Amino acid sequence: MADLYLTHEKAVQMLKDIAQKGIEAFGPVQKDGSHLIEKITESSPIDFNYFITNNSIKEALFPRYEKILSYKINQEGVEVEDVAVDKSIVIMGGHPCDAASIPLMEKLFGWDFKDKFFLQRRENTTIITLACEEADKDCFCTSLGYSPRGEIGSDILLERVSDQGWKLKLLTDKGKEFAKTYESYFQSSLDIDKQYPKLSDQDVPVQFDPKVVKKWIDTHFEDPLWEEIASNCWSCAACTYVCPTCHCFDITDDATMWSGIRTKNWDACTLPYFTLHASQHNPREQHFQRYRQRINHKYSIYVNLFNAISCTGCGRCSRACGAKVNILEAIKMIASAAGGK
Amino acid sequence: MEQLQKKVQELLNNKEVDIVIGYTAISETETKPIFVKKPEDASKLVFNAYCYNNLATYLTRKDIKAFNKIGIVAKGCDIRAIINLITENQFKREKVLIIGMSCEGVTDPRNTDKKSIKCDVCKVHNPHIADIVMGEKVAETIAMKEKIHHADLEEFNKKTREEKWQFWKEQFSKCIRCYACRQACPMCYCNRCIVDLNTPQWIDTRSNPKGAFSWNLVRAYHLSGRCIDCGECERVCPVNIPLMLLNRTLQEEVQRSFDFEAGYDLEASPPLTVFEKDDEENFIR
Repeated sequence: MADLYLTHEKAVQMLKDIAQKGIEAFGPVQKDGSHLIEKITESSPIDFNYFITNNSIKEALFPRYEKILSYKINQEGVEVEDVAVDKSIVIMGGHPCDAASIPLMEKLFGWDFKDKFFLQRRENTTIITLACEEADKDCFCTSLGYSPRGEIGSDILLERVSDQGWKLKLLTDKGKEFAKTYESYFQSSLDIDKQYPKLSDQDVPVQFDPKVVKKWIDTHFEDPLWEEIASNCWSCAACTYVCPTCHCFDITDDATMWSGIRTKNWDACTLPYFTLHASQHNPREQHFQRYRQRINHKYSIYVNLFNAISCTGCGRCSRACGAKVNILEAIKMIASAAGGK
Repeated sequence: MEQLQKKVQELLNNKEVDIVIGYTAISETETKPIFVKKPEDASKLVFNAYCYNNLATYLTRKDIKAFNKIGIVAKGCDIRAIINLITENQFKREKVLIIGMSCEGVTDPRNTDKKSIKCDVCKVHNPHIADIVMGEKVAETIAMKEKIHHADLEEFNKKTREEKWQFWKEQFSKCIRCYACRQACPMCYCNRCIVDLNTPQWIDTRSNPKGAFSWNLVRAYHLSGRCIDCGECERVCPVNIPLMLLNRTLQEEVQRSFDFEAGYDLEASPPLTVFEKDDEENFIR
């Protein structure tokens, strides 16, 4: 296939047209001075000029809240109505650290219980990713084996060739199919600006060895370092909700006496009541115990279960934290306590 | 800065305090909270225009509250929070040693080239209640003498009711229910927040329109007459909801109705938290 290029203008048009067709289109919008990945509507202020969106693309596959069933209680018993997950989804605008999170979450949602909501959406989703052109001090994807130009999890990678737009890299059959379906939006050439690509792996230095980190975590569940790392933590869920890989949820009912709907909502291990028992005992009563859980789950428990770290090094949690807890600093402190680099 | 470090070292050495909550530098334009327990760590303290955090929020955290005497580095707005916590009986005045910092204003967290909007109408650039005052006295401005409406609120109030409804509908649609606003807020110290009560579930925990409206409005109402205008909720919101517009609306309402602003007077309780025998409302009798 000949080379394909996409301009900003066409990308905006394409996303809006896709949304019009009844396909769920997710893309970057500019709101109140920052960029968010949101479901696109006709009036969405789509904008591609950003370093990184505040939230991740996970919302498209694992929504903040979603109905999983509805029920009615009548004389015959309980009538349950299932929810169909059949819409096609297109996500455009995440970076490689976003796309890489999808195969990671797939391991969990496809584990012992098959979560059809995530898995079917995954099946129906085409992921178009923007290679990074910028990194900041909170970025550390390379320390986890990823790359600012990484292809994992994406169907199409857009590599910037000029201020006007990108060159398409078709990575999967789904990606090729997409390029064919929407060929009218692509063009066969674009003026190439030599200053691109601006960012390579070397620009995001490797800062720790995750194996060393895991080993320390596995042998230091009780250690004063945890208190030091998380001393500022005030126990909100900003870090977990902007995280592309955090996947915990809560099930609630919104019901009257005879009918209701059951929903799956985001939940977070960093929130104080996440582990509160009915007896009122809370095994993770203190802020640092909860933050330890977050790190432990990502860098050790997940590795034991799925042989993968549940973190892509995007740095969103550090940027979102108003208390200034920084995951990279935390991991580096662990690595240095372990005697690694 | 040296003066602050020296003083804190002295306080810890003399065991006048067991811990000092202050700021330390991450970079030239960033700071973070730090808990200093050893005198030798006092040298890590800084104070500058990037000290955004309202450290009073840590005063009600269990592990911090467990200390006998707590030193706290506080700007005027943070002191208002401390005072309000005292009037609400969260701890005794003697529990805290307030190291009040003269403050010309912090920068806008989202645009460090300009000053934060809250500082335009701040009356307490010079600490109003403190055990120790540090820094050079800030010259009094008109804003410090008489309350001036926040510019953003004045602009917002020009909107029609329908426009306001649309505005908030859109803003709350962004809410992810992470509760960063609540956790950052020094006034949100309830042992168990109403959104965390689930037998029964009073507030919808979903981040759908119903849930997001319920949460944000409940929080705003609960802060009416108690908000001390530190702006932390708005700063820490990961999706940039202008929460201070809500809080300031209620703040001005309480001021108009009760002639009260929180956090200036150790003897005065927020009007919505007290009932006097001669109150004209009789629903509670």
